Amino acid sequence: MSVVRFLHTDALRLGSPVAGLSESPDWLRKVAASAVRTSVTNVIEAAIAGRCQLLVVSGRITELDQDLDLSVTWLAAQTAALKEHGVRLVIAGHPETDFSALRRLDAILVGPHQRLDVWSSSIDRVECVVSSRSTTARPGALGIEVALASSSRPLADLAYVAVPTCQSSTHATSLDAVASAHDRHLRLSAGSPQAINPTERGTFGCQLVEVDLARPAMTARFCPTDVIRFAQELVTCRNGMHASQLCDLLRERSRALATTGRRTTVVEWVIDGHLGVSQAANESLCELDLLKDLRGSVHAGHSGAWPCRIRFSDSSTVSVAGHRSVVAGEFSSVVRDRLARTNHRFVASDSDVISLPLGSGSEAALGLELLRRVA
Amino acid sequence: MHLTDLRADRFGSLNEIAVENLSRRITVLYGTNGCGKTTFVRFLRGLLFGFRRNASLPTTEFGTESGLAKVQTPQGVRTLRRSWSTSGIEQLSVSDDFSRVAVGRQDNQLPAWVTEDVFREIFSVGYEEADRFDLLTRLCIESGNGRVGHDAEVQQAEAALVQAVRDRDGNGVQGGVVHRISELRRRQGELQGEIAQLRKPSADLPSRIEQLIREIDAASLSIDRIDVRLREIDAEIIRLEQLLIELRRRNILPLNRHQLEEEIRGVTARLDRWREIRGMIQRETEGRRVSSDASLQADDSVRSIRAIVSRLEERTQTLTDRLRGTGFTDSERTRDADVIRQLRGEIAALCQYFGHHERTTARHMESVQALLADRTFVDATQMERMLEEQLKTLRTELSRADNVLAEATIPKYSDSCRYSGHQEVVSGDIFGNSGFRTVAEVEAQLQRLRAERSRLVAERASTDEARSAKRILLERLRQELAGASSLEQLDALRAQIAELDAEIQLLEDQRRQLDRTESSLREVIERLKARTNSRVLETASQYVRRLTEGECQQILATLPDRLVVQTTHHVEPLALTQLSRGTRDQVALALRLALIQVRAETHGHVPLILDDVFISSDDARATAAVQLLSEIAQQGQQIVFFTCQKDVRDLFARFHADVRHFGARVEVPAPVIPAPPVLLHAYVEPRFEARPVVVEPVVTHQPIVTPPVVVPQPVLVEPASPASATNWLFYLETDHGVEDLAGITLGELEALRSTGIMTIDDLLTRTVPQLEEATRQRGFQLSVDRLHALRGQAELTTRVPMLRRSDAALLFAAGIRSVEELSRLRPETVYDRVSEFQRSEAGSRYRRGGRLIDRQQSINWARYGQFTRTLDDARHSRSRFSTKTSSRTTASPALAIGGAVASREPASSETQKVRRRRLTEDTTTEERRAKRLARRRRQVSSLRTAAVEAAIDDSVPAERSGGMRFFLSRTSEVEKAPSIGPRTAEMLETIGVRTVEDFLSMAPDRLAEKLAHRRITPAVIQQWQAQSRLMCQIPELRGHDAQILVACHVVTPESLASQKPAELFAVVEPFCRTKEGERIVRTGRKPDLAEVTEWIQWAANARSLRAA
Repeated sequence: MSVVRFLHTDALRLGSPVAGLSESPDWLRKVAASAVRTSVTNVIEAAIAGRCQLLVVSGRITELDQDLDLSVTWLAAQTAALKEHGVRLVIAGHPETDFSALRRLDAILVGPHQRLDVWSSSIDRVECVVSSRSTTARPGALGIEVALASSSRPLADLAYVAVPTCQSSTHATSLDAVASAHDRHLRLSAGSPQAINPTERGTFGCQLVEVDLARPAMTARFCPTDVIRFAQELVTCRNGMHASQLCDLLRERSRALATTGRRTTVVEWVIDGHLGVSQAANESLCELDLLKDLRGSVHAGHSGAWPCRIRFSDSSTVSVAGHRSVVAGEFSSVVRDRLARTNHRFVASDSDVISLPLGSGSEAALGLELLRRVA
Repeated sequence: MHLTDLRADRFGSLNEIAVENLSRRITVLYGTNGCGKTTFVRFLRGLLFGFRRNASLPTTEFGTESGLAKVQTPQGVRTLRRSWSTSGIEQLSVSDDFSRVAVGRQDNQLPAWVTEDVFREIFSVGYEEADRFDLLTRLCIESGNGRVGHDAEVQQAEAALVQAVRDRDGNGVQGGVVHRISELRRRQGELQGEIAQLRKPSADLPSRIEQLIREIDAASLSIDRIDVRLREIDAEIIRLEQLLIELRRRNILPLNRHQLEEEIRGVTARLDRWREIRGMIQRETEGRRVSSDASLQADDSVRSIRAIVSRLEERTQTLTDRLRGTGFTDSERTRDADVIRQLRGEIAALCQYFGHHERTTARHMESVQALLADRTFVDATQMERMLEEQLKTLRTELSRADNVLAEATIPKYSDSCRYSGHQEVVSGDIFGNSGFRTVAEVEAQLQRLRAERSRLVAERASTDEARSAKRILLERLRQELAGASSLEQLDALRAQIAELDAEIQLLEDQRRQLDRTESSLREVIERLKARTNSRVLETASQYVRRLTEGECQQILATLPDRLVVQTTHHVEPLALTQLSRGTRDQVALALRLALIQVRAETHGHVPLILDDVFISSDDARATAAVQLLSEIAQQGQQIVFFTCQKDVRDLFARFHADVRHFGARVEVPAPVIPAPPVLLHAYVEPRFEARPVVVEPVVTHQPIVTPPVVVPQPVLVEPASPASATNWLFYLETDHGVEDLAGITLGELEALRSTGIMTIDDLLTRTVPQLEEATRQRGFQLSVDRLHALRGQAELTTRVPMLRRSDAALLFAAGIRSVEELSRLRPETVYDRVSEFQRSEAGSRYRRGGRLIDRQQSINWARYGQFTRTLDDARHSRSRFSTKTSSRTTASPALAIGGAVASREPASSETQKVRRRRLTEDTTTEERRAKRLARRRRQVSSLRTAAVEAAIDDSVPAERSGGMRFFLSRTSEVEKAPSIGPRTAEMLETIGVRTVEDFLSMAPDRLAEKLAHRRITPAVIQQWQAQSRLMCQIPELRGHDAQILVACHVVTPESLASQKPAELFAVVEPFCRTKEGERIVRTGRKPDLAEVTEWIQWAANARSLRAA
């Protein structure tokens, strides 16, 4: 057998919480609390399902050193399945000072200046050895290194360079992106198995790499392993849309984001448009009120979309034409004056007489809501 | 209407005083103090509205007072004549001047809205009325003419503002975004603590486990002991219960003795009967065996069978015999033979049956009888035995009953009595060694045992429960010791913290939005209120801007009936009481003029009588006021102005006013000083070149020389006579340097000198806004109040003889801010005001040796106030005792002017001597000044160093109040404020913020904008200001305490005072563990519960920010 299959993943980030979720329902709270661990379990299952010989972790297991002991204990229990299926665990993202703790994992430990050489010794057996990067690998062997994207090519006939980063190289393209190494050299980022804050948007998972030592050729395929996925959705609404209609629109878009997989999409909605406010008692353009309203009507479940935040774009405005009171007019004037003072990009135009900016830093929605409440 | 002539025939001290042909514009009546001006004003009021005898007024010796006024009305000239008699009879007559007949309406011809109060407070204003605002405010606010009503909108905006603040802050204690954030942060802190606990078992865990094990063992031992005791008690209870049953039973037996004997008799009878039955059975059994055959023979059935058999045999025999006979046929014979055979067969069968039956019956009968007899015998035997047993028992009981019956007597006679029953009881003691003698004792013991048992059971249950809890705790501690915490637990806690983080972030966004909304709504309210002002207030605002030379910008009405003034130097509008006396008088004048102007449009003009209302105004403001009055007079408003000030008279003269001399009486004040002054000065009329104005004599028999009235623009003050010396001692002359002012600091001195203000004259010739503008342009920031104080001190000291500079500073600080005011006050009033001020916290530093001024000193001041000189006099004359040389001789920008002045001096021998003395003293003066400056610089430097050290050490209290220390006051340097270090203080100083007062009075946005520092945002400044406010208001509170409190969102003394110590500590303690908290605390001790409790106690003693 001249084919070597291994699963490449980056920092596991065990012990790190999934941030950005507030006032979540119980099911989401539970999912979020175990999301990182579940994603690591998914990685292990993917390695077994892909009939891999190696599971290469090119990043740190935890973000904090003090979590390492607990994480190793947990990981040791999970990797028992790997051993049963003949998958060797390779940890390549830790400094040598951590090796004493990592030895409990029965894993191949690759230091910062080391390389893992892999070759096929017989039909059904794969051999591997850790060697220094400065030495040349044996002929026909695959050299696996953790290095930057701009680093030099490893001294091996076939080279795989794991570029450390949280996000995958292919997250922006498609889930089934295939990277082939025509020059016997593949440089990829696998990314972490799970995104842990709203700024880490997109798909998170690992790379399933198949190396044909005989041809020789390398192919990588991305496998998603994340449980919670963060996204930012821009909603452009028509002119004069009211708050209630806006909620309906967001609800509809939320349903459209629902997937069939066991994955929850946490969405930050960005609303763009010129909105109107009616005098209805239950209408509010305050971001928190909108968020509560939307959360109350969304049945996300484990495969749906859960709103984590609603905010207005900088170009969003609210019409104050409906507010005919003097106080609302004065309030609009004050807000416009303040924005003109503090925001140099804000240029008052004729149309601004009847509309107020809603974006970050504007108190328009809240102030109008308060005036409506006390009116 | 207009006044044309006024005449007081007799009124108080007035006698035959007439003012005729009053100008339709401005008439100025000038007269010295005591000439009757104020009385004349009162006369006018009395003429129009009736006279009320005032005890303070002198009465005439003629008994009847009278006077008249001629007024020009649209209907013509009317003459109002009123007379009063001492008997209270008052008459008012109104007649038409043209027809000389009385008109129908006997009134004062004034519009209806001008009531007596309105006339007194608005139209005839003296020194007393100038400071009354109640009616004036009401009239101004109620003046609906041109009012734009926005009350509802203001209320709506205020409600929205309240809602925004409530949404943000809740009720101060709970609710609201801020408190929610605090709660979430506290919860986060707790979770962090749990994580720390989870990750790192505490060092005392083994010892705690050991302790727990010991406690559990002790509890087990205790439970075992309780069990043993319980068993003992149970056994004892059972024993006692049996004893009790026995005793009770015995106590019952004697009562049933007869019944027992009856039973015995019954049982004995039954036994006898059963014995008899048994004997009968026995006998019967024996008899049955003998007579069994006879009974068989007697059986009827057997006999009948045998009779049948006999008959059958007889028949058979008959037939046989017949067969043997003849005569019979064969057939008959055959038949008979058959019959015989049948009969014989039947007989045989019967015989067989009978034999068998006989035997069977006999056996059966025999067996049945035997069985019956046996059974009956056994039963009888058993019954007999049972009855014997019963009888025996009954007899035993009967004998015991005999013993118990004698129980009470047995113990007494047991020793002597030989009765067997008694002996049995004594020998077989039923109580044994228990010591009980009665059933009651047994029952009491039983009850005690049961109670003890219940207690022991409860004790056992509680001990068992505690032991179980300890076992659970022990198990958990053992797990912790073994590191049983898992990644799942860690993840769960971190997920909670992350969720709280996200929620806090949302709430922080909301809080920021609420802050901005609050700020915007406040601005909205201000704008709406500005719109809400009536036209009177709009007009008054224009007037007050002119009168105060721009210092007061706007007069605003705050709901419901309060006026405030927006000034250029304060962010927040000031209440009228917060203004200085002079400014307040100018605001009052502006309001009156505006009200009169607006009302005149609909009700017509009413003459305005002003009685020396400029005494608290400086020259510039007085000029502005005269100019404004002149303009208003040009619009048709008649004004009659009484004054005793020549400056004011001259001012009016320059504006074409009709100036007259008013002299009802001439009273020369008696000299009160041992060395009476010589002639103070002579009034020097200015040289006027414009058209001469005819000044009418007021009193026909006292004509005066009328000064020529001109309007020189610009006003040139030329000395008309050479400088002369006075015999009064003035401690400050106009040519003295500004450094001679008492209490002036080096910075102030440098600020003034940098703007070319070298002498007192330079200081007095400029107005405060000009001074402030000039110093600001030079990069200095002197507060307006301070400039007022310096200028007032200079004016007082320069104009009032014998008044020391420090005394002048004290008078000014006490509110006596002008020479005219001092001259009008009675000595007692001066004493009261100054001593009251010295008793206050602000005035405490003016005490001399910790004591108040003495009464004589205030009397002297008030008397000196009667011998003041004008500024012109001060410029042109010097005190004979003044040895101070002019600072203009120094090498300064004023040198040329000083030279010019000096050159104009007459070259008399005396002057030459003075000049020589000056020349010789110049050097020493300069040297002395240089030394003094150097010394002050050192002092200031050392003070600054001490202040910085005090701020760093934070141990020097700023001031004390009620035994408690305040570590910051509004007058403190800004560097002493918390969170503001030397570098920030320098930055603040560059924009004119030097004191805490300056720092607090500026809006955070404006400060941040001026500082233009990326880290110093409005929010940061807001926090700093909140910290400073807390320190200013709360005694004993130090800088880092204020920082911690503000960081924990406790920003007012009220909110701090309403906190509970434990709850506040629950917020403060986690905060101190954060990075920010550690930065504040540094190496110091973190606040504990006791300290937090002290904060709350101190907050209860907080003072207002104004007091600070």
